[in-house]
Amino acid sequence: MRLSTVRPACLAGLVLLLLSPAPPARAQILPDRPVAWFGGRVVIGGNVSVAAASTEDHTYFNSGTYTEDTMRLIAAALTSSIALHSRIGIEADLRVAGEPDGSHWYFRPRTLALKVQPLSTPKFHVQAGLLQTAFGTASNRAYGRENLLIGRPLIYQYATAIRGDAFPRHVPDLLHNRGLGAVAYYVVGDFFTYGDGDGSNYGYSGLPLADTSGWNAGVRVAAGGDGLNAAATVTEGSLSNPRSRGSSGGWQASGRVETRRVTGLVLGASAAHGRYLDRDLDVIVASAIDNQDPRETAFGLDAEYSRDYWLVRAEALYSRRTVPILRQPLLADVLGVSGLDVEGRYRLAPGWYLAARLGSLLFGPASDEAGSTSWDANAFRVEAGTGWSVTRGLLLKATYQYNRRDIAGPLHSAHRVAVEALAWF
Amino acid sequence: MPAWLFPLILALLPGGAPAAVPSQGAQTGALRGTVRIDAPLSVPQAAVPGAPLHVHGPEPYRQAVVYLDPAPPVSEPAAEARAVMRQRDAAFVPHLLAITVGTSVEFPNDDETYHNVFSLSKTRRFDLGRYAAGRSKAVRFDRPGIVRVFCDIHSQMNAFILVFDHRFHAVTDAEGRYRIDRVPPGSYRVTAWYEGVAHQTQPVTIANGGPTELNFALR
Repeated sequence: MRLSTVRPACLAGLVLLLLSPAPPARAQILPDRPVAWFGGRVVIGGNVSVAAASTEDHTYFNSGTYTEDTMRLIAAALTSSIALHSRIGIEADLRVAGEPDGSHWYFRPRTLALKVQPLSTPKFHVQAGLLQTAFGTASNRAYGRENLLIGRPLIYQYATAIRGDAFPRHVPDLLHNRGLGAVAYYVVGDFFTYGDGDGSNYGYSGLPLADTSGWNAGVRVAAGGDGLNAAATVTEGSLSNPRSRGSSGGWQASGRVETRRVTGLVLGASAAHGRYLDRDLDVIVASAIDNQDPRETAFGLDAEYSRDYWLVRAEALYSRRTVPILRQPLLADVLGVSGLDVEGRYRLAPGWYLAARLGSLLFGPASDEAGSTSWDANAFRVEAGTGWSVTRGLLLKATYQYNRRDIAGPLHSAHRVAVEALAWF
Repeated sequence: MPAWLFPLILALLPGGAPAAVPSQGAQTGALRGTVRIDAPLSVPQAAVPGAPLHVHGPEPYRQAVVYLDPAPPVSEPAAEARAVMRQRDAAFVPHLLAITVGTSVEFPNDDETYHNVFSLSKTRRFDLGRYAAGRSKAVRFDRPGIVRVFCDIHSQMNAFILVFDHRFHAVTDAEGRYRIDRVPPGSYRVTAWYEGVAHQTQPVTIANGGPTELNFALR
């Protein structure tokens, strides 16, 4: 479902559901733990968050998918697992979000899938339906509560100059959009720029390296045991361009292996490969003079270590894409980009923590006869802040964020201060 | 404040007037009975994609706390006491503890994974951080009240610790039975409490010698 097609009524509905009376904590606004019905066969959790920033995101550092400003956002999420049988169930992760001024609202499932446990062990299961790719760590983390800060890691949020529904005719087209990922425009494609009825027009933004905000359609197989877990997905929709964004088509395979053999240490490795451009572009892509079968390949490494009051996470991602070229000059390179996010948290006192995150995106060269430059502007971010749990289910955050990208002009850098209130159960 | 908290807080806070003040050296009786709980059961389980499917197993038995409300004053010196709440199979065992002020509770981690025990309750705020299997940390409880205990890593893990400023309390066993010994003879109010979901208060008169029977049905 696209932008603005669902108005705040959706949020109201979801919030009402979140606030509905729950047996274990009937006197509270939100229950203080996942709510279970029917002897635990239906379990529901959820969260509501409101984030406000000191300034609007005029520099587009936080405007990621669907032009969503992650530091100026109202969002509600509902997770549910329904056990139909001892080995068959349904899992759902639904989300409503939009800007405080009532614009850009959407309702979207991140997961809505049938889950089957064919063997007696719960360590092996198969999911089919709308789901996340197996790549990386963000798809398995609850939005909001497991986000130490208010902004999101660059590799999961920052809009690059590559779009899923449009592409450059040639290298100058691409380079014209360096640093303009959130508002990148290409003549080829871009069928879906539309208005929301109030006179404003907007279209897709550029693709992040990985997008876990939407769903893909496909199958996921997961297995684990003895401290080693593995998952693989085959989906229609790709790591950077989920099927929920539009007609993102072609099949993509992704996989992740992680080890937890040392208490407190999680090490993971991921890979994904497949098509990333929308199927609506197929006819045009077929007429390209180079790269008629554009592909995206990504590799990721992640680590998490925690002990006592410390938590440290790091995630690195390398992504490379081929882009169809319609006119000379030809693009001599695949478009590679390396991303790294490192974050840490220290708990100062019960309910109170400090956290910080560093992120960077380094883009590879785009070369033609005229020379070589990075195909998008390198980006850097540092964010630091604090979180205070008023109660177990109510978390307040305040952060300062500095962003910089390697281009001159008004989009070069930005400072932002933001606060967020998050209620969850 | 939730309505169900009032009777418990009244009982936990010091200064409540006793129903009867026994003389020193008087005989004591016992209070015993059962608590049947028909209140809704919440099965702790993670509601996140990727969690195991519901596993059909024996329903966990429900425990209630029974306590005198208010309690008679006694001149017995408070003894240092210890209690244990384990982290086992991603659950707190036991799920419910009733202790007396001054008790230290050990939180050993019996799992291979980390846990992070914490509480933001006004009665006692603490955060034990993350520690591995075989290690344990302790918390001393010096104020009466309700302490909700959680794990920061596993959202389904939760437990109750009820801290009383007297010793006239008991937690029901697997069959719902309880017993409070050495109660001075007199008239009292007795409350049975189940996780804030249900409670019931009844009057009772404790006689010298043998036990007095008092049963509860919580809905």
